[in-house]
Amino acid sequence: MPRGFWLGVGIGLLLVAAAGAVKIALDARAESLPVYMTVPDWPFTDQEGRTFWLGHTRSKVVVLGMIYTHCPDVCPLITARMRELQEQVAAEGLSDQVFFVTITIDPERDTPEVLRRYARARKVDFTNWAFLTGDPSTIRHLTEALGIYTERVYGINGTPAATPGASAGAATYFINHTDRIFLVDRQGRVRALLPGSRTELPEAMEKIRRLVRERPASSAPLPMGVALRSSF
Amino acid sequence: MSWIRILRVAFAGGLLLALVACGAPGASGPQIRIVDPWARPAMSGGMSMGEGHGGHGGAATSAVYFVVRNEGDQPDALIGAATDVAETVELHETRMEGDIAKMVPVPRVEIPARGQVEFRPRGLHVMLIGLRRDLKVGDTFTLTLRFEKSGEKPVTVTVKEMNP
Repeated sequence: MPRGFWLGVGIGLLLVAAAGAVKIALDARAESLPVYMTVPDWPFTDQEGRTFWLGHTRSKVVVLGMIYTHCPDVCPLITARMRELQEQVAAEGLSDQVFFVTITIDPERDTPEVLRRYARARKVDFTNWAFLTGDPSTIRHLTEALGIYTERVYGINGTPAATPGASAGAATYFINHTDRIFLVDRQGRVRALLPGSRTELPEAMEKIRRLVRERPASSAPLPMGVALRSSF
Repeated sequence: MSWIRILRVAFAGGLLLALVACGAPGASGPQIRIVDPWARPAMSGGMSMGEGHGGHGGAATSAVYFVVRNEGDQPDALIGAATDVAETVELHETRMEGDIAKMVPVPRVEIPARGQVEFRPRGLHVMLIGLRRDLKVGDTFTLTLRFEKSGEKPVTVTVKEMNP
């Protein structure tokens, strides 16, 4: 065989390999989810009364929802959707890669004990799920950072009232709020906004799998050297 | 036949016709039927419940869902409800404005003739405020629905897992 023949074959193989590499890179790019914002690393209190820094979940993919336990209609659905995701994540052997966080938007009423009872009533597996409450100003700043709308509505015997002072004792309040679940990558960045109580399991799982497949940018160690599993 | 006898027969016939008309199916106003009433499980809430008694904002809540069918030829309206398991019962509706869920009290819900209205998650529901006891899966309780024309309709509500 002439030397030119083998040279041609070699160049051809190189071109094929290069094309394959370009395709893989383009596919990866097309697969990439957008970055919306970074979840702040602030301290909260979990359902057992322990301090929980949101940054402790870095290195895991996080499914994050915001609810309040006195919400009778939409929030139980958000929790139900997240529980379905937790079950599916477990079924796919990803429980050590994905963590679930529920944060109350009603810290005045949702104490750690209330959150614990709420979660237990819904058969939540606490192995990779934390229910968080915290300082009201911290919660408010978090809702602002994540773009969660909240508005208290006071109702008295079925009649909306502008303020709780409109009636002594008989008032209760509900919270109008954004219906959303966030998917957060291993670096604490929000990468997908799911429609909360209306989240479809297949679509959500497809995004979770993508985030699990993503390599951590620098394999960042857990903050403060605390292992995730050991902190709760 | 005397005129008096003719009048008597006419009167009796008219009376009979009127009675038949009133008793005819579909001509008796609304006919309300409640289908598959269920409620979400909820905890009456330890600390929460204690704060809720007369306090502001601490009352544990749940929601009841069902379908109201009106098989009659006249409309009706659901105007209230009551139950022993909650201190306050209200008719509410969750309305989605974009991706924001808003809770709106509704004073009455029209039930059209030969139609139905569905109370379902993310929509109309009967709100139980200030639960007096836990509502666990499998529990049942009585909810009395109050209709404008049909009066009170007690139904047995079953506590179920979510089935949205």
